[in-house]
This record gives sequence, C-alpha cells and structure tokens, in this order.
Amino acid sequence: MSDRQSHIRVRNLKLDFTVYSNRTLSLREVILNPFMARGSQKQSFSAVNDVTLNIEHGERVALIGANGAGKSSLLKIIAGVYPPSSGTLDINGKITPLIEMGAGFHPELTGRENLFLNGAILGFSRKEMQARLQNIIEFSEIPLHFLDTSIKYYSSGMQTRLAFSLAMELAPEIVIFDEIFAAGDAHFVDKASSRMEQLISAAHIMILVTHDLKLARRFASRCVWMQKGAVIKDGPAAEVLPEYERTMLQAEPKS
Amino acid sequence: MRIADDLSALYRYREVLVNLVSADLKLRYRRSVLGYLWSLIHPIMTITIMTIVLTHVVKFQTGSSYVLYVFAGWLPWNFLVNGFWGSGAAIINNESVLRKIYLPKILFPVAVTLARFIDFMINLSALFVILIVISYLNPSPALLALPVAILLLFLFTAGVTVALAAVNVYIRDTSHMVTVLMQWGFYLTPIIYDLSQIPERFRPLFELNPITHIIRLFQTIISVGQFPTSTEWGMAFFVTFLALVLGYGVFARLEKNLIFRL
Repeated sequence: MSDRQSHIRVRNLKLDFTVYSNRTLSLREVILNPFMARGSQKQSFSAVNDVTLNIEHGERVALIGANGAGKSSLLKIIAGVYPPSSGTLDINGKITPLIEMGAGFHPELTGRENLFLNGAILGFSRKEMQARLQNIIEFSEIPLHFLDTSIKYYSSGMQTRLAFSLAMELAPEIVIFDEIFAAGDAHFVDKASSRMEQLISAAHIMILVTHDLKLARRFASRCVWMQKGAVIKDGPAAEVLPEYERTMLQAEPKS
Repeated sequence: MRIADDLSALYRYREVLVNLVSADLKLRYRRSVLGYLWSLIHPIMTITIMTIVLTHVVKFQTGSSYVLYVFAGWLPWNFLVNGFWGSGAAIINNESVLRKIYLPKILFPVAVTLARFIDFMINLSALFVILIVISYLNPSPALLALPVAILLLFLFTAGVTVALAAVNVYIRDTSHMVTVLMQWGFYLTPIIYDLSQIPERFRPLFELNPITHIIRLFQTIISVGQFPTSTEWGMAFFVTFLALVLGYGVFARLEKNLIFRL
C-alpha cells in the first residue's frame, strides 16, 4: 500500500432529490413541456442538507442515524455514485465502496465468471484475480462444483459469502461499508469479522454505515450522527454512541 | 475535456469492459445446443431467404452477384440494428450496479457495441470464406480498403449507441421508436436494391440517410470489387464524424444526472 495520506473533505454538501411521479419522462411530457408548467408532477427534498465533514488519515468513522437520515446518500456522493447538487468534495485516496455485497453479480453468470466481472469492477486485473481465485474460493467455502453454476441457483448465504470473500481480497485505501454484515452461519460470521478487522486496520480510512451499535463500537473511533440530511452530532464514538442510544430508546421504548 | 476523461475511463476500466463483452457473448447462447453457431446461422438464413424471394419469387433480381450485393449490404446493416437495439437497454439493465458503485456509464453501450461487433466480424469472415469457396466472390485488391470501411462502421455505430443508451434512460419510448425507425430504415437504405434502381425523385431521401453512405462502402468494395470513390469516402467520413460528435454530445449532456432517472 502507498504511503500517501488519504482524506475526505466535504464542504456544504447538498443533494436534492427530485421525486417524479414517474421517473422517466414520457414522450407526452417532453412534447407538452414547453406549454405546461414543469413543476406539476415533481417534488424535491434534500437527502443531504449542507453537510461539512472532514475525515483524515487513520480515522475510523461510524455514520449513524435513523432510516432516511441521509447516511447512504452521503456515502454515495463520496463514492461518486451521486453527483452532489451543490458543495465541494475533496478526496484523496482510492475509495472501495462495499455497499450491498454482490451488487454487481449477474444472476445468469456462474460464480467464477461473476468473480472475474466483480473483481474487475473493484479494480482487479484478470491476472490479479487468477492469483487470488484460490484464496477467495477457499474462504467462501463454496463447494467447487457450484462454482461453474449460474449464481441464480445459489442460496443467498452462498452469494453473500462469495461476495464477501472477494471483497476481503481488496486492500482499499478508503473503505466504505454500508450495512454489509449479512447472514451466514455463526462459523462464517466469526471468520469474516476477524478478516474484516485486518482489512480495516490496513485501510487509511474506514466509514461504516450501520444500525448495529455493537459493530459501531467495535470498529469505529469516531461517530457521526445524522438526522434529516444534516450532521447533528460528531465526536468520539464513546461519547456520541451512548447519547444516540438513549435517544433511540426514548423514541422507541420497545426496542 | 470531457471526451478525454471518458476515453481514459474506457482505458482504465478496460478489464470491466472485457468482462462485460465476454459475459454478453457467453450469455446469449448459453444452454442452446448449437450455441455460438446461431450467430452464423441467422445471417446465412436471412440472406438466403432474401435472395431466393427476390430472385426467384418476385424475380426482382438475378444471379450470383445479387447474393453478393445483399451480403455486402445486409451484414453491416444487421450489425447497426443489433447495436442500436442492444444499447437501448445497456445502461438500464445495469441499474443495480450503477446505484451502488461508481462506474463510467459509457462502458455499457460501448460493451454492447463491441459484443455485436465481434459477432459481425465472425459473420463477415465466415461468409467471406463460404462465398469464395462457392466462387460467388473473387477476391479483388479493393478488399484492402475493407478495414477502413469496418472502422467507420464501428465508429458510426458507437456514436449512435452511446446516445441511445443515455436517451433511453430519460425517455423509454426511445427503444420502441428505434425499432420502428429501423424497419423503415431497411427500406430507406439501398440493401436489397441498388441506388440506381430508385426513381430520381426519391433518391434524395436515400442520400439523406446517413446509413446509406456507410453501407455503400461495403457494397462498392465487396460486391462491385472497386475502391470507393473519394466522394463515397468523403460522405462516409462525414456521417461518421457527425454521428460521433452528436452522439457523444448527447451522451455527455445527459450522463451526469442519469443516475437520478434510473
């Protein structure tokens, strides 16, 4: 890995979503547009509202907040999936987003073919993949005869294991996790979390989106709490997490 | 420059591109008995039925030179149409990846175009061999110009497909419109007849069709057996340039906010 210093600095970041009753323009809309008011069928809201955040080399950050607080949207801007509506983005370091494992899996392709396709998406050349293939397959514990079967015949546990095992071969500078700790049997989860620890400790920066506060406590040293698209609290995990927990308990006495 | 970014992205993500192309080629014929042979059977069958009907049934044309003519025009036409059709869904079909990870959108239509291009090249070479063996075709020095014609055909198609892939995300009627337009296009392009057979007053309609100028290179080289004239080259270069500039221009304009429309 390089000795470069990584950082993520975002300033006044804003992401406005326009909600269309129908996401695609129909031909009628296009033709009638010049004559009709355009705003009739759409509404906009800010998924990320004026966020300024600096994450420096070596930081392990957990992003927490209720559903719809804008955590994933913020991560997707950082990962380059969404262009921000306004604000600036200054990123140093190569980002590897591990958002929903197996996102790039094609159901018709075999496990092996999917590994190569997804490996390429995550930045591995064919050669690098060939060198790692054995490791990945072994770690995933997927029976060899399944490897040349379309992935649509895999159980969801097998798919997750395959995706996870591939991801763990990466040596990312900036790693982003978005609720990726999906199922698997206890034995695999155990093995996976210790592998993940290695990966995180080797990374320059880690950002983790999770509702699992145990995970946040375990992996993060800093905690950013978001609500309605804005950062409402930012500080050491040991301070922010208990407060968040208290608020959550008050809001939902049952959980 | 945007275009430099996209070109360098195509290079940086070449491994993804190669994987997308090979997945496309593999999946189309997986689990069929004849497999990849289908991509060869299809053009042979189409050209056969077209020439049989047009030479024997309606007696519109005669002779082996007509088979050659249809072959020369229909094959590149078929590549164009398949590229246009395939690219319409290229970005939409990969929505789930694009929502989760950054990938240059241009990869997807280019991958489809490349996959169809590989089909085309295999067809072209196989049919060439067949036509030479049954001596419908005598190789002439004009064939030396074929690679340039193929390059122009590819670039022209790529220009249109990147635009179609982006526009179709915004206006999903596009792919339906393309289907209809290409059906018309088949009759507005000299493929089963020669431009000289078309009444004078309709000819401008054919001349305005940019595809005519690309297809004509193939007909001149393969079926007439001559080097295209400088006018023919000029027109072909011109429409290719236009397709690239306009097509990429449309794509570049739509790309940034495309993700919100998926």
